[in-house]
Amino acid sequence: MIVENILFWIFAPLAVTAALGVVFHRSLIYSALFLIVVFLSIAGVFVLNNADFLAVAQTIVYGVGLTIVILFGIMFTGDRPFDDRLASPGKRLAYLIVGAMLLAMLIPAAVYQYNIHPASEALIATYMTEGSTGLLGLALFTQYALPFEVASVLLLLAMVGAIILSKKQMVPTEKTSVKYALPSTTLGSTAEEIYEKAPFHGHLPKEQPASEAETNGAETQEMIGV
Amino acid sequence: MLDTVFNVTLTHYLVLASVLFIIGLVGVMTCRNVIRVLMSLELMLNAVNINMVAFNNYLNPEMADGTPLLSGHVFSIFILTIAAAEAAVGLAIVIALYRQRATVDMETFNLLKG
Repeated sequence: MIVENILFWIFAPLAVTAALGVVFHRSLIYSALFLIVVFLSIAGVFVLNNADFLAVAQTIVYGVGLTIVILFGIMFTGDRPFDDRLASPGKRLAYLIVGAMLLAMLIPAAVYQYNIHPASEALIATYMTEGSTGLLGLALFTQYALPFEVASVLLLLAMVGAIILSKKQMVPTEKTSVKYALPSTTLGSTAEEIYEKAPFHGHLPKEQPASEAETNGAETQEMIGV
Repeated sequence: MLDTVFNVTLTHYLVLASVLFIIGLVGVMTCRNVIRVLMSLELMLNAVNINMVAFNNYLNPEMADGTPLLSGHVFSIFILTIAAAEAAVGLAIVIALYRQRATVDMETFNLLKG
């Protein structure tokens, strides 16, 4: 019990200070690194709550995967140090006051006594021997089977959507001159005209000459040994 | 008095979760960099996860026949899934916006403004 208390008082202040670093540090890269600290300390809090599987999942998904994605995003967009604050300082102050008031709402919640339902002997025995993973799998595939399947569909959709959103656009815009798109003046009305006027048609043979195709075919036949 | 503060109960986890949630909320409201807003959003989702797991650990939900049911952990896993999907799509949107505007400043994204 004493160990749990000490560990909580290590993880919780660490998480809070690192979270403050995420929001208020000037450099975005440092913010992302602070985010890793937050995720790992929250994984520690999960362990204190008998959620061993979730702690490992938190470390893998958040602590490693998600922060790498975010770091990629920072690298793609450049860690340009523009002023990361709202334009009007009054608005910023107002939002900070809103946050402080929400924090003040904690005071009655912090003194409230909750009705704790104690763990059964069997549950404690399971936690001590095999952990929570088996029980979690049981819940996921019996009680929550439908949401589980819906979540898998959601992940697929998110993956496809992310690819579609982030691929290079084929339409020329003012900022990006995409070399794959043809200038509109070169386009003709028929497919033949478009093909003739296209600047890259020299690289794409229109159709193979008949004689060449025949010799190719003969060579292939010889190689096969027909 | 000091003892009641030091000994960890459900309330401690709830306070930790709400503090993290409010830090994330302030970050979402006050930051102009889209990526930092996304990071603050992840903070908020994680705070909710702490809430779920702590309630599960202290309230120990059971099925009708008495077998333990880890509902809090399951909700937490779903939040994890949604957060992963949200981060992927969010960063894809950020990169698409960056191609369009060459910046990640929230206040320049006024494409739909009349």
